Amino acid sequence: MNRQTFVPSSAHWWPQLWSRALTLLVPALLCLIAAAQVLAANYGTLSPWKGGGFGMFGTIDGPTNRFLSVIAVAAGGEEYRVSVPFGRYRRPAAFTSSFMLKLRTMPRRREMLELAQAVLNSHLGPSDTASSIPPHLALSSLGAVLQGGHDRRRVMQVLGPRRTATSVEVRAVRVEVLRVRFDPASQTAQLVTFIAPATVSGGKSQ
Amino acid sequence: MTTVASPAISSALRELRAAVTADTNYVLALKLTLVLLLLYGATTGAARIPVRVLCGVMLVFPTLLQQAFLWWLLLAALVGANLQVWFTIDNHKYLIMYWALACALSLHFANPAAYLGWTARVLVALVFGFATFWKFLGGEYVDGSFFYWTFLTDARVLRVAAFISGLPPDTIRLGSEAVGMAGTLGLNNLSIPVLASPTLRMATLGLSWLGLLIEGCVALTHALPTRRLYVLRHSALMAFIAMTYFLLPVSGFAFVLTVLGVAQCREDDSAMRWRYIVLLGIVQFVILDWQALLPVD
Repeated sequence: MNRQTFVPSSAHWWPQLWSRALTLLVPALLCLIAAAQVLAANYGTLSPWKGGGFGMFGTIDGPTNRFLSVIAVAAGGEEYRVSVPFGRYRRPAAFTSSFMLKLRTMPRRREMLELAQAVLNSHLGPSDTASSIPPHLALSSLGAVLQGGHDRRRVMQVLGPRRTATSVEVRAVRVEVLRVRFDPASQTAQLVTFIAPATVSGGKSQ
Repeated sequence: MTTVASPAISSALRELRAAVTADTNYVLALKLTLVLLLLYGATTGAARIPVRVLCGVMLVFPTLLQQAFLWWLLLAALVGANLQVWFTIDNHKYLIMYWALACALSLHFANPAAYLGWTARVLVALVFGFATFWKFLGGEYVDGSFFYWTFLTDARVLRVAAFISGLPPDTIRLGSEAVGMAGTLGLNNLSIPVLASPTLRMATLGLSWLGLLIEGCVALTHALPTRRLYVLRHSALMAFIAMTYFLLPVSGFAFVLTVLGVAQCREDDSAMRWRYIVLLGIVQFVILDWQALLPVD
């Protein structure tokens, strides 16, 4: 860096040190934020694709390869898989698209519990989409693999943000974040638990 | 028709070239930055309004182009918009914000062009340095598995994957659908076989290392301040922009990198400036589905 190049426009009251500090401000900011992102991605849950660390296209661990699993436990002990229509409701905040994105990009226990609580407080009913395997996929060899792993739990969906008299009686809700892991040696992909399940039951959270 | 069109096109190109060289490099960089911010600056709804208004005003009225107050206002609107969604915005939005800050700061220096050129070089070095670092850190990139997975699951390169592997796109698409369905059903610990294509495997390994080589070259040539690397620096950056964003189109990133390239041009090197302007025009075509031209079953 040529010292003579970056002379401040008002050299009388800006000391040269201040001028150098201003010169280095932008690169320093980038380094600071990128370093924080590296730490957050490697020691926290932030996806390497986000946060200003420039880790995109370096790993498959992007938000699109992370999934949310929501399980409701009914009063009788039955478990249901819950489909949350993110983006359909503005309240509670846990049902918005941006909340879902945040949960996939940087899952934290706090938000997982918030989602579980919101589902616990909601009106659940049978799912109209059924989350079944599409026919063209079901007929393929991959369909057989999926059906072999399908746990046969009924799928419920959030029909409204408030519980009603006709709501299914749910005792607890469990939220889990899954991540895709690709093994090039065996040429297989697997969904693995990324964050341990967060459970909310009758007002108590775990 | 062609006899009428040819002189008209040549004349328009001559005028464009004259316009590109008429402005100083610094003014051109500022103008391009305003276009960049207009197109790719703010993500969220309400904040786009001040960004659009300010960029529009500063572009339409050239006397306002170097008004520091307006640049700081623009930066504030940009940061205010993107800060709310810091966890979901793409990395090039961060780079755009850093660059907007640099533009605002430059107006307080006696030699703004030199400051902006230096900052552009350092920013490119750091961005590519971190990007290269991440590719080694994860481990999934250097063995080719990241690109292999991407080619099997990313719709943007589906036809390229089909072209290379010789398999129908529908067959390739089944894999990503199966993983998506497994995610929807929450089927953890289930092993889903992924399409095995030795040809695709080799091609993606080759692409991985080619990408790494170019990124590393960009990072290194920009990190070293020596003037002898001037041509190599710009060549590497242009090669990266042209190769990467036609395969995986992220037009905002291509645009900001091009602006950073323009800002580094020497004042007397109008030819290099012109090359960047042409490149800028060409990368606008990344949004077209050119991959549909590939002969695939």
